Amino acid sequence: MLSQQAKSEIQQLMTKYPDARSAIMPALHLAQREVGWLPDDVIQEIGDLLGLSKTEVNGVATFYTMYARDQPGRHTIMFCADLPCALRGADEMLEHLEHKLGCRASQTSPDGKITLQEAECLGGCNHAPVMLIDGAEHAQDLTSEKIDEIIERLRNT
Amino acid sequence: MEHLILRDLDIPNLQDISVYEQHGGYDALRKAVKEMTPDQVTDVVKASGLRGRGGAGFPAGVKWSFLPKGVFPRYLVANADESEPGTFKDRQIMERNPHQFVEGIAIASYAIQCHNAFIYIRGEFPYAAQCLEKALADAEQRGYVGKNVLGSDYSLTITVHRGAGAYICGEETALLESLEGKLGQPRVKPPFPASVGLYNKPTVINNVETLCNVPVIIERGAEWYAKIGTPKSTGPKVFCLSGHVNRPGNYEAPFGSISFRDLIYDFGGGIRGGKKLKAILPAGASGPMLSPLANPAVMDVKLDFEALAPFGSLLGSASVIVLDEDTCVVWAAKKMVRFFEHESCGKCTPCREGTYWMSRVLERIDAGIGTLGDVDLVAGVATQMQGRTLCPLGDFSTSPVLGSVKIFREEYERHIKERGCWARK
Ligand SMILES: Cc1cc2nc3c(=O)[nH]c(=O)nc-3n(C[C@H](O)[C@H](O)[C@H](O)COP(=O)(O)O)c2cc1C
Ligand code: SF4
Ligand code: FES
Repeated sequence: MLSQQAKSEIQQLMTKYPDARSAIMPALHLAQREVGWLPDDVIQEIGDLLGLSKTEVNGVATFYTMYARDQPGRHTIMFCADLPCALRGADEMLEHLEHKLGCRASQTSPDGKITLQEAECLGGCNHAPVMLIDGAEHAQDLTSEKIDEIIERLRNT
Repeated sequence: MEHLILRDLDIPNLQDISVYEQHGGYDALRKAVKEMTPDQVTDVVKASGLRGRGGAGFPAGVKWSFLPKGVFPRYLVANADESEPGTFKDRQIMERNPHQFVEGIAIASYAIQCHNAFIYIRGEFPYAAQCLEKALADAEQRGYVGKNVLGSDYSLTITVHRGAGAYICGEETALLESLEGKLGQPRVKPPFPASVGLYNKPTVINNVETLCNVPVIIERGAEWYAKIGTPKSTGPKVFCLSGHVNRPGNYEAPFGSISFRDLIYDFGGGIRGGKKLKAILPAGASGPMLSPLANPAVMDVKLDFEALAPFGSLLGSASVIVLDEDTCVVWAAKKMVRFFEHESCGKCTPCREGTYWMSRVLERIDAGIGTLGDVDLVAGVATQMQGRTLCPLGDFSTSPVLGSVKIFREEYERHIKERGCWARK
């Protein structure tokens, strides 16, 4: 369920665009920030606010990779697996990360804390390897030590 | 030489509006709004020869002048979806020189008489989005955007719209669909966005780097600008250099002033570990591979929009990925095709099915379980796809295959005969 505040923020967003439907992506971002992911009832609520069917909202939510329709761990890591990063050791770093987390890409660590996703180029190929943490923070020039530190930090928050 | 786009490399803290102003920031906007008519601005940009930096190189001023007369409202959309593997210039611009981008949007919007501009920025750039929001708030406070820009009767709102993970939204019509709150799938062209664009209204879409050239042109004049670069590719270009070089990064140089040799060995400090160069991907994953092994002349041709056509490739957005002698090209092609398979929007069958099949065959060859017929099979699928897809992504996806098979067919065959990769122990 969305908070009253989130709902009024979504209504605010709708006025920013010539057509309210354009507010669907920012609304999904906002909801995901608040709830952590996008369960069915939230999809329904957003649809109700925007005057769209649940199916329409769901279609948009599933088209884009950054929206989580399944409950992820408390944190999500998007790890870049594209060629420029792979040329600078990304495949080995990904293996290290999988080993550290005890799960593979598209899975959540057994302690339920961290979900690992493979991502496409994150625009940091000059600082490869690169990953994006919680959709909010780039971690670049990754080494196994740096990855270990980040995982410790995420496990404790 | 002084940077014109990556000015953050010369001026510390350029993201601060006061620093930007101290270095002449927003003077061009002032000049445009106070001393020029919208059509005059368009004419200057036309005369400058500025071409789009998003990949296709279409002349910006010409695009602006395509908007049908008298049809309002009109929209300007800045394409900040930057998702091509190996491209990271727009991100640097937005994080470290955001005001030049904002000023470019404001001038372009004035030129086309748009009062509502949008920045479509990919969802994976949270920090850059934050930098833009800050820059816009500061610019509004000082009267550069918002109601009555610099006291004139021209008003402009700029809205940052965040994507959520989809490479295809960089294609301009998919971007418009996405901005309208729909699935990011390309539209059939024509009609072109200039006549039927955002909310079915006349719309101009320009890349971040393109728009950053606009203040420079207005401030210093078309004649001055057109002297930079070559007659057909004017101005400075940002080259993104990545892969096996000592100093990957963004490097700015006038069109036609540097070669791959200059870029890789001077700017980039040469190949890592003193190794030899095997291949170059000049346009991220989207342009056919080049190699000095196939044609040594490619190293010394001065780079502009047309320079790589004789070599069967293109410059695109100039995201140059460098592969050293130990790199397996089958593996590299597999990685790139996997990217396109993942990013195909699924709207048309040749692309959806073709990327799937190319991926499977390349995986098989890479894993050492391919058969000799597989090389022609994968090249055949790619050839069949060409020209049969709704948007250029389908064609792009064939580049890694056709480019690498053409130059390195033996390496494919060796993979198959030796049942795996000799480069990867
Ligand atoms: C699959 C695909 C992806 C694209 N991605 C981008 C992108 O990320 N950024 C961009 O500016 N242009 C991208 N383009 C090009 C745009 O469609 C469009 O030509 C460009 O934004 C126009 O701006 P310009 O004339 O200033 O270059 C892409 C095109 C295709 C076909
Ligand atoms: S070519 Fe590919 S990405 Fe483009 S519309 Fe067709 S399926 Fe979508
Ligand atoms: S390829 Fe990894 S950030 Fe670009």
